[in-house]
Formats: sequence, structure tokens, C-alpha cells
Amino acid sequence: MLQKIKDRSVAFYSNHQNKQFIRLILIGLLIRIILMPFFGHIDVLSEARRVFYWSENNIFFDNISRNTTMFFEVSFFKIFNFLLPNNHTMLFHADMANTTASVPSSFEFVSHYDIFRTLFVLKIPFLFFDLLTTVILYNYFNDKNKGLRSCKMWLFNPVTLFAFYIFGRFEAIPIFFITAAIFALKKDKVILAAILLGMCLNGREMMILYFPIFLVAVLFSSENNFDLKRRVAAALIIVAFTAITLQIFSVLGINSADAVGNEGVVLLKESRISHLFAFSLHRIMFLPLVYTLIIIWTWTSNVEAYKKLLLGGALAMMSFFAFSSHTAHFTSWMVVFPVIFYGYDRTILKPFIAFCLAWIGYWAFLTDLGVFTLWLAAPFSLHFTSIPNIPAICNHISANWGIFDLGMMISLFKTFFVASLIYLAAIMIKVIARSDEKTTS
Amino acid sequence: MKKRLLKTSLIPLLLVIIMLGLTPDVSWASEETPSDWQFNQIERNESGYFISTGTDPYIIFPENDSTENCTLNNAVQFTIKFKPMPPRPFLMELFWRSEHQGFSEARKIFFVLHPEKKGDTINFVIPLKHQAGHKQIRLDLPRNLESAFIIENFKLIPINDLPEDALTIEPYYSYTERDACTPHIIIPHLIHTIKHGCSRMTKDPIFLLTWLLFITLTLFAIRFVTRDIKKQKS
Repeated sequence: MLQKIKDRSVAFYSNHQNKQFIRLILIGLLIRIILMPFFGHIDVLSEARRVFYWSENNIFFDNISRNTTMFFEVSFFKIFNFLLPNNHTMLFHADMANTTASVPSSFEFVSHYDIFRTLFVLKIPFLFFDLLTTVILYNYFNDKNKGLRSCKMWLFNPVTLFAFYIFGRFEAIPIFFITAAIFALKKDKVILAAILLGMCLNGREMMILYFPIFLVAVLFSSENNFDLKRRVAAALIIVAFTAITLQIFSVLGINSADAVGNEGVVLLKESRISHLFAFSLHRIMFLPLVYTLIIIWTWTSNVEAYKKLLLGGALAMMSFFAFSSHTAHFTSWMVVFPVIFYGYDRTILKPFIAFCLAWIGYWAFLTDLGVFTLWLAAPFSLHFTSIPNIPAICNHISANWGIFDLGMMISLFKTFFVASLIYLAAIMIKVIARSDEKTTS
Repeated sequence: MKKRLLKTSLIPLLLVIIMLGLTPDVSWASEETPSDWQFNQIERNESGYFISTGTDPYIIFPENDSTENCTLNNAVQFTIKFKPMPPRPFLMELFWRSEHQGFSEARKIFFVLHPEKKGDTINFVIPLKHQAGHKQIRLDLPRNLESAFIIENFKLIPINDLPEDALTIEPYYSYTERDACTPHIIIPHLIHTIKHGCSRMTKDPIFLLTWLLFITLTLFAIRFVTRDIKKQKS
């Protein structure tokens, strides 16, 4: 057994492209190890309090809409808990019904001398799933050079680095599952894809956007290798996972309170959802408009199911970010799509750079307390919190800028951001259309 | 010539020392709490300790009458006895007001106290940077402080004569937008911030060494693979 593993490792390492992949992973790992101990948003404490509570009480699943992230965060915490001798002092919170941390309690949290190791340990699951996503991306393409290209974009883009290691949130977990689901579908493993996507849907609320696309793509697939039995099974699996994340069971009168006694948050009642449906002009709602187009295309197109999920998922998520803005780290959800498309077509690189710059500019000017400011470096030194953020400085110095005040800068960068999204979407559509032509001819 | 220079520079120095010696300390160091302290949402419990009773507990100390003290005594010393010692670091705020300006967010620092491992008392001093002086000081306690406490000592002391037996606590100031755009203010602040962060890292040496070891090993691995790639190419 050991000999087999050794032989396989030697064979893997002897390949030139595999060596390049290992080097890429190592450089990516180095950047991540350097960033991990120093940064974190206030939400890191709120989430850590919950994870500590779940871990202490052996709760792995709860009446919440993101059981996948919860399960992995608790499991990793249980494994690495021994590295945090002061975990109780740092993370115990008496009032578990109100776990959202306040600014003073966050400052007290980051003042602990153990903060560096604590942040490092809390981010280990994000590192694990981030690097696992890299492995999937490398194996996604038969041509390893394309895989290497995608890996470079994934490992060194500022959006996911910010979301996972500077903001310090768990987005790496659901992103891994959507990437894995697309890969499984590409390999014709439709049941596995349904399970992986189901885990993704239960990893983050907004991943629900993938559900109808997957359902339609699988049920109306033109491929012969998906027999009816497997299609129906995959559809039932994804519907069951969706029912869990939407907490449909609460409608039937089943108790929906979570482990601490809070009423479970029903996704369909969340403000983010209602915001998306509120965005309309002359009674035409923009997200449902784009979404309808995606579903019709998924239904009628002859391309393979995995390409439907890839392009449909990308367009759905990108239209979400075009019509809604909540917080800077959410943008990481869509990054995996341009990354995969970069493997198909290298012309996506420049619009992707434009997208990253627009994202940085937009959030630098729009930021509120601690979201995209030096506050995130408070664990390193609380002195960073004493420096005003860019909107405050901009307000101070823009007196002579005429129309280019803070409001204008926000609108401009949002426009750049949406323009870059539209350009990326156009390239993605072109790539899939080109591959469809090849398949048909 | 050299001797004269030495003499001329010594005279002002001696004067300063004499002045400092003559300047009376504004201090209270007694079992009894002075009656001119003003308390907000703070009450005594049956053991004579103070406990916070609301979400905005603070103490206003008496006015400082000596105008010289305002600029010379630019450090504040507290000795606080806790029952029990709080289990985790906690944040406090110090406001000051001048002759013509009241307490406000613009005249405030915050600081974090770490619990003492031995004993129940923290004796600490906060060196203040601002030059505007302070007529009166207000200490805001954390709203979630569960321990009872007694302030055994409160003193305004000269900044160049900090007591050796007291912990020096880092004060955190808020900078204005104007300060942030002024290089000679913000650059030294950033340098100080980086130094402060680095010194904080040394407080957990095991993690620091492990973290550095990870980085070194990863660098070695990168070098090893890069060499192999180059060899294979050639």
C-alpha cells in the first residue's frame, strides 16, 4: 500500500507540468500562511463564538441554512482545538442568542496575545478547501497547461485572498463544492454532482441560485450517458438538499428553532432576497429577467450539462453582483467562474484584471466600518483602527473636486464593476458558443 | 568654550527639574474614595467594591486646578484592584476636557488592560501624546465588566518620570481625516503601528517560531521544486 502511494507520488512528480503545479501550490500556500494570522473582520469573532459553542456541545448540524460550512468548521475546530489553550477565555460567550460581536468586544478579542494562533487555526478549513479547489481546477482540463493557467488565476487573485484570509470568512467551503459539482458533472458522475451541489447549497444562502439551473440542466440534458433513472435520482437529491437549505420543513409545522433556541432564519424571508426582487424598472425585475433567460437557455441548449451549469451558474451569480451589493467578500462566490473560463480562453485575463480593480475601487469608496479598511488589520495592531477610512478621507479632501465627490466615486466604480462583469459574461458566452459549434460540427 | 556651552545647557535642564519637583501631583491614594469623584451607573456592593450597573459606567475625576499640570503631567497612573481579576483583556476609555472644551469623542483614547496572572491589582500608567492638556479626566469602564473593583490610586504624573513599578499601557488615539492626510503625522504613526504589531507577535513565541518554520520550509520546498523544473528544462 505504502509502496503504491510512493510509486504514484514519484510518477506524479516526474511530470514537468505536475512539478509546475506543485510549485504554484507552494507559492500560493506561502502567501496564505503569511496572511493568515494578522487579519480578520469583527464577524470572525461572531462565527468563532458559534463554532466554539457547537464544538463544545458536539453539535454538527442545526436548523440553519448553512449546515455544510457549520459541519466542516466544527470538525476542523475539534481537530485543531488543542492548539488553542485559551480558547474558552477567548471564545466563550454567555449570551448565545446574540452572538454578533460588538466593536469593543472584537477589540478585546484581538488584544489577546493568542490572537495570531487563533486566527491561524480558525482559517485552516478555509485554506484546506481553497487548496482543494486548486486541485480540482488543475484536474478539470485534459490539457494540463490550461489547468495551470486557471490555478494561477485562482491562487493569486485579490478577491478570494481578501475574502478567505483578510476578511476571514468561510466562503472557500461552498465555492469548493460548486467547483467539485461542475467537475463531477463533466466526468458524467451526475449523482455525485447532485450531492456536491446539494452541499454547496447548504454552505451559503445565496448558492440557492444554482439549484434551478442544475435541475433543468440535468432533467433536459441532451447527453445519452445520463439515463432517465440517474436523471430522476439526481433531481430528487438536489430537491431534497434544497428543501433542507430553504427550511421547507418549517412550513409543515416542524420546530425550526436552532440549538440556542433562536427561531431559524428562513432564507426566503431574508432582506438580501427581497432586495433582489425589489430592483426593477417599469415593473420589469432585473434579476428574474436575466435568470429567466438563463433558464430558457439551459432548457433549450444542446451543450453538455456541465457547460450549462458552468455558464448558467456564472451568469446567475454575476447578475446577482451586478444588481446587488452587500459586502466585499461575497464577490468571491463568482471568482471561480472566470477562473475556469481562463483555462478555455486566455483573453479573459485583462477583463478579469479590470474587474478586480473595479472591485477594489468600489469597496474602497463604499466601505463602512471595518469592511474594507485597515480595521481588518486590528489583530496585528489596534493602532490601525485609528486611521480614518477612504470614504472619510475622500469626503475631507473632495471639497475642490467638483462633481467628483464620494457619491460620484461610488457610482463610477460600481459602473466600472458592472461593465467588467458584462464583458466577462460576453467572453464566457462566446467560449461556450464556440465549443457548442465544435461539438455540433 | 565647551564648558560654557555645557553650563548654558545645564541651567535650563536644572530649572526644569526644579519645576517638576515643585509641581504638586494630583493624586488620591487611600482606602476611602474621595467624595468629589462623580460616578455614573456605578455603585458600591456590600464588600465596599464598585460594580457597574448599566451600559455606560464611568467615573469623572475632580478638576485639575493647576494650569502647569495640564501640560507637564501628561501621563495618568491608576491602581485598580479587582474582585475577581477579569478572565480576559478588557477595553477602557479615557476622555479629557480642556478649559473651554467638554468631553467628546475627539478628545478620547482607548486602551486594553490584560489581566494580571498573579494578584488582584493592576498598577498601570498611560503616557498621553497630545499637547493640549487636560482640565479634567473621565474613565469609562467596559459595559460587560463582571468583576467588582476599587480604584486605589489615580495620579497625573510627569510624562518623563514614569514609575518603574507600573505597567506602561499603549494608548490608542483616533486620527482625524486631516491627520491622515498629513505625512509627518501619519508616517510616524504607521511606523509605530508596525513596530507595535511586531512586538505583539513576540508575546506568543511558540506560535511565532512555528509560523516562521512553516514559512522557511515552504520557501525551501519552492526552491527545491524550482531547481528541479530548471534541471528538467535544460
